[in-house]
Amino acid sequence: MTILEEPIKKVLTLRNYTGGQWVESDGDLVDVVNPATCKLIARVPISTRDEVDAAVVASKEAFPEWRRTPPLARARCLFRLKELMEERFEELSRIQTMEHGKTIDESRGETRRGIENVEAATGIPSLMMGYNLEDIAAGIDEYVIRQPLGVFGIIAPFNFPFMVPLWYAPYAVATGNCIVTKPSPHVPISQMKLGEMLDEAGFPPGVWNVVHGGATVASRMLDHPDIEGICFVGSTAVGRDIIYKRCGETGKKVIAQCGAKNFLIVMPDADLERTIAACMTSFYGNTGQRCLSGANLIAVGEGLNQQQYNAFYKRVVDVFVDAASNIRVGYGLDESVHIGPLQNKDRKERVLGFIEKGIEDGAKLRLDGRIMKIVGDWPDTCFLNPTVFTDVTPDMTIGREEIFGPVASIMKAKSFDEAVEMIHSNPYGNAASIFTSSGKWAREFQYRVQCGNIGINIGIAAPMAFFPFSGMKDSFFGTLHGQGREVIRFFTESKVIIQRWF
Amino acid sequence: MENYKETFLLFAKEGERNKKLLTRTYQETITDALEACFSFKGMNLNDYAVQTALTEKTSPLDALKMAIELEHKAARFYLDVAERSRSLLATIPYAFRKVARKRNDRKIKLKSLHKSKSRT
Repeated sequence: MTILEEPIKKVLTLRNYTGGQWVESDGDLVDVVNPATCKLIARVPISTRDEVDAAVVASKEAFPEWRRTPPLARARCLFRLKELMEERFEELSRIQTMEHGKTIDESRGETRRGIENVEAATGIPSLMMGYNLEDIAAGIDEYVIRQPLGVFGIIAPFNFPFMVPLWYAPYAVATGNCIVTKPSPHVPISQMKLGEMLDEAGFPPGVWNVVHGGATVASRMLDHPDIEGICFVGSTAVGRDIIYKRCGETGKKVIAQCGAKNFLIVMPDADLERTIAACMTSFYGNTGQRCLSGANLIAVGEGLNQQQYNAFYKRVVDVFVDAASNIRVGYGLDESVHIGPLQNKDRKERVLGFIEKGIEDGAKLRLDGRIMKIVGDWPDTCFLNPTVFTDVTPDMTIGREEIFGPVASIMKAKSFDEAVEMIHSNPYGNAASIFTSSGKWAREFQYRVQCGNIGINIGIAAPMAFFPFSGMKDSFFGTLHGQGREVIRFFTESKVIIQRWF
Repeated sequence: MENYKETFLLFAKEGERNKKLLTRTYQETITDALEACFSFKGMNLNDYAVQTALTEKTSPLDALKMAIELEHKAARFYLDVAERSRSLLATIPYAFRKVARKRNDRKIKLKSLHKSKSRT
């Protein structure tokens, strides 16, 4: 076991990045703990309402000049930022592992996805173009231009501390807006590191601000009259009942990407070995803490008699459990490890509660992740091994609610139609995947299933930066989604000009 | 001896560039490679291992022979992983093939050096 060198050597005290300056907060400091080692790595301020106001003032002041900066010049700042991110790729990745717990390869993947959004946003001179039509009437032409709106707020979750703010921030600033980002106080360090690159990348003071904190900061952002819109990623309870509602009340644009309970269905004609390999990343990658994680695996018996179906279900379960048992759990800076700990002790407690509930509801516990097998001598405070339940039904708590941990529920469906019904009986609609070698079933699946991101022989249907990160039902609140062309529309207002010259 | 020094210094510089190329390729494609649960199967690393222990008694010509063997096996290794990674993004096998070519060029240079030194 070799542990990669930790880039954080001493306990950091974080500050806000406001108006191009590192500003100490008057708020209380809370601990940021490495969940694998349980060591303190930083202290982050819970910033005050006034500090949010100061960031918004800085943004508002920066906006008029920034929006007049040519799109190509704004893109150049992003090109420079990308280069700086590439230079610090490994450091940024290791920091994510230290603050979050995910494995180094998962962190590297996250860094890459973040950079891809910066790269996609550098295309802003083309992406932001409007359109026109001559002669809509005699001697009259009409055209549409896209204009930035002002200041936007980004409220980030704990599960992808580096990448998620970058689903929005590069596009916001590329379109000429200014932003205030609030990272999760559990994982604020990688956004602070990003802040360190902004000045060098050439962003003028006030264009891109980072304010640390919790509910006070989020609440002030929601109420602030000078914030035009909010981008949020987090739980459905907060996204729907607080963010979406308050944005409606205060007239803000909103993207609220929320919780999930993703179903993966396996048809009898699927390539089982490759399906289960993809399932391992889907169910257990990021220790199950992602909104695109697989949660429920349905073995579908379409076209099989009972005896054949029993054999197929048994095989799915056996291969799945065998693969899950071989997952190595440990500190993410050990490159031989497949999954890291949960992000903190409370999250582990919550997942343990779901495991208890699953047993209580009558699901069969085929692999008990509470029996610890950790690579290395680390405290087991936040660790949990992969868990598999079988014979789960959609009405059981573990089959219905978002667990956000390394717990898989395997379910039965006699037919494709029954599997689709099971997916639709769940209130969430973030992602769903089918594993099959039949084009017919794949097409039926993509046509009928009410989820925003569909995978066909894909375990994690994660859209690339140039496509929207979709979501439906209780997984998304708003109109336009993050990433891609949709987010360009979100960050701009269409202005129509009808022109005639006498 | 000057020939040796120059050649090996050039190799060292090129080695750094190869490392950069492979690191960059890895970092740029990691999400795709890993999320597909990719792993190189059916390869035995011992097939590419070379005994490189040098002693005071090792002659420069013997050291050159070892280096030729090392480059030969390294080139084969990169070609084999290029072949096995063909299903991944095109940049991955491309990078491996590029390094394989370079390692093969080194083998040719070393052979020619060996030939010239054998004559003297």
